[in-house]
Amino acid sequence: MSPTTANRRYALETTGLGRRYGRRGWALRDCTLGIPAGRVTALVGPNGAGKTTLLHLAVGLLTPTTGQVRVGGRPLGGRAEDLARVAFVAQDKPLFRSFTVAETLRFGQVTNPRFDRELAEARLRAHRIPPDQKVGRLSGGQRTLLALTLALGKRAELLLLDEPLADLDPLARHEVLGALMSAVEEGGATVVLSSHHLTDLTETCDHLVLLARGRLQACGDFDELTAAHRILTGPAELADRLAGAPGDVVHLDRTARQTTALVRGTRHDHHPATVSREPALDELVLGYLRNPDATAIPRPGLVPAGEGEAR
Amino acid sequence: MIWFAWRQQRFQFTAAAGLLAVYTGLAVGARFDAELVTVTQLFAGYLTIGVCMFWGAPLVARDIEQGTQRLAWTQSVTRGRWLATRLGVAALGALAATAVLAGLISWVLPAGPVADPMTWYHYESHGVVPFARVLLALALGAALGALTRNTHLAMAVSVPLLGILQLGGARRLRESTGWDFWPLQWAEAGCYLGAAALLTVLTYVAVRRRV
Amino acid sequence: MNHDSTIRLVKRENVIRFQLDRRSGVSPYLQLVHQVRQAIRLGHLRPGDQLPTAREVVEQVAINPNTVHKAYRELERDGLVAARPGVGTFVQASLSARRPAEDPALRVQLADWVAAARRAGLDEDDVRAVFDTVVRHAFAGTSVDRSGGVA
Repeated sequence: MSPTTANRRYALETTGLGRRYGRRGWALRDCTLGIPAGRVTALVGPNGAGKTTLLHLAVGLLTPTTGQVRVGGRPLGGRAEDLARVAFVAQDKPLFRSFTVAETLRFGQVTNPRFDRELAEARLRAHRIPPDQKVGRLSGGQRTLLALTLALGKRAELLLLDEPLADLDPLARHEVLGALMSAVEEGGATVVLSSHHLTDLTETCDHLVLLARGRLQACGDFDELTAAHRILTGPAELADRLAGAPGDVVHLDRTARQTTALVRGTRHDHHPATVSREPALDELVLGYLRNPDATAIPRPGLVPAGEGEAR
Repeated sequence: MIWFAWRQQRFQFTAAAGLLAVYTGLAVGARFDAELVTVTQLFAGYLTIGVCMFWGAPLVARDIEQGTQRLAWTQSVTRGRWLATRLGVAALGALAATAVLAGLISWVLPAGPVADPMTWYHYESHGVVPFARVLLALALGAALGALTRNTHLAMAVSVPLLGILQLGGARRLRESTGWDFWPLQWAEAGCYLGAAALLTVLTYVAVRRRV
Repeated sequence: MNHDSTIRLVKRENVIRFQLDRRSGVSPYLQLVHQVRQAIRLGHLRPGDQLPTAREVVEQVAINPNTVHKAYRELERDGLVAARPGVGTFVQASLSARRPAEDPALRVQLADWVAAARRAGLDEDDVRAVFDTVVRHAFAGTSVDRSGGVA
């Protein structure tokens, strides 16, 4: 089933999306997912998992080798109207270093028809970034806030941020996340932000996309994903019982006396001498990271978040 | 959009103005000392080299080196329009500088000895050839920058290549045909413009294909 | 200072300020609910006071807006606050005038029990474990957050 037929409204959908780079092979493969509108999505995976490739495809910087990207239900092409629908803050927050802050906003204004200069200026005042300051002399946190302000000023349906918190001190990180959340509250934008560690994102995000080795491992609402998994602690023989359902096991750890496992679904709750509990989000992510081949996405095709096997 | 292209090329506009100021100094000197007339015409070639290295080569490559192409190309402007605007603004600047230089040369020329229009420094600083040549220089620098994605490499490669194009192509045409001044000027300018157009297409393809 | 209307900086002095304990293991939404209840119980928030807007809260503590909405909805369901569309969320009721922390009889009983536990050889962790288990048992079945009683 195509995610478009589901009754949720998706801000971003990909179907069979793949991208190959010449000799380096596939950076992203067979990726089919849907990100509901109005949500804040954490795009998580180790370095080289394909996060940046996915974001570059979704913003139109890269063209897909296979598959398709849809934004707000419409295919993303290379026209100016398509570019206006997605805002992007690239990794390392590129800005023109010789420009002043005010010139950077003017750049946003002349290159975007819907640019909200007043909003952008008010945000910069709130962050106490002086307009006549040269971009090259701003601190890392201020540069991130300026890049974020520029992207928010574009008034796009979808905002993508590639590792926006990397290299920021805790205070700047808090300010950037706070600014982002207030923008979500104010404008109802759909946000996707990537990170290679989840801890920053558990309170700000409510949706997860997990990538490993260029493949989609999991995609769904935080609560629905954790509710659809269990952590089992039981005797060593539990591992043998679980071996009968290899498709359910995400990660398994066995010692001489004990088995601990992260499994999909609630089918294994009643094994003898086994304790079952719902995992915390970081436990769930860790389990998947430990086993890059595991996937919560039944193949072929996609079951939209929350309509997976746990139901 | 034009403001943005101009803002990123502000240094080049300033440098071109500075170079023209030097030429003006030379030209004023040449009005008093005929020796300097030849020198002024000789120096005219440096404008082309300067445009190739410092205007063409960084035009695309600088953004790619600094990662700012990912900023520029994700606004609501297509890459085609982005490239066209900045190439257009650069071309206008380079053509204006060339026109000022041509004016200076025709101003100082009567002060010097009457030259054969086919002597190379006279031929190359007159007519339509300087204009076509400066456009070729710009397009060549930009194309090499877009292909190598490295400003310094593009700078280093572009000048010898420009020399080869001029010597190997244009001058051979001049020597082998034995045409008069104007037919030769138009033929040569046509070749330069054709090559510039080809290089611009190449730049566009490179910009479209890669991030 | 700020003349802009698109973004409201803190124009109105907020009565309370939320804080998140990120290591507590308690979900952020529950922490917000607890903090409002606590503030009402301690008299920091009185009927008629306005709660910080969702925008102010998310900017301040960097959490998902839905978390704030969920917390405010729960407080509204309990009748503690009321949302006036387009204006804000206001405290409606006060929690029991009885302040448990100041109830001398209950305190004394607990202190006696703790003293007895110590005499029996329990250390601090043991005491907490017993206390937590008993509390959890006593409130099992009722909502997670009924411990303070509802007005």
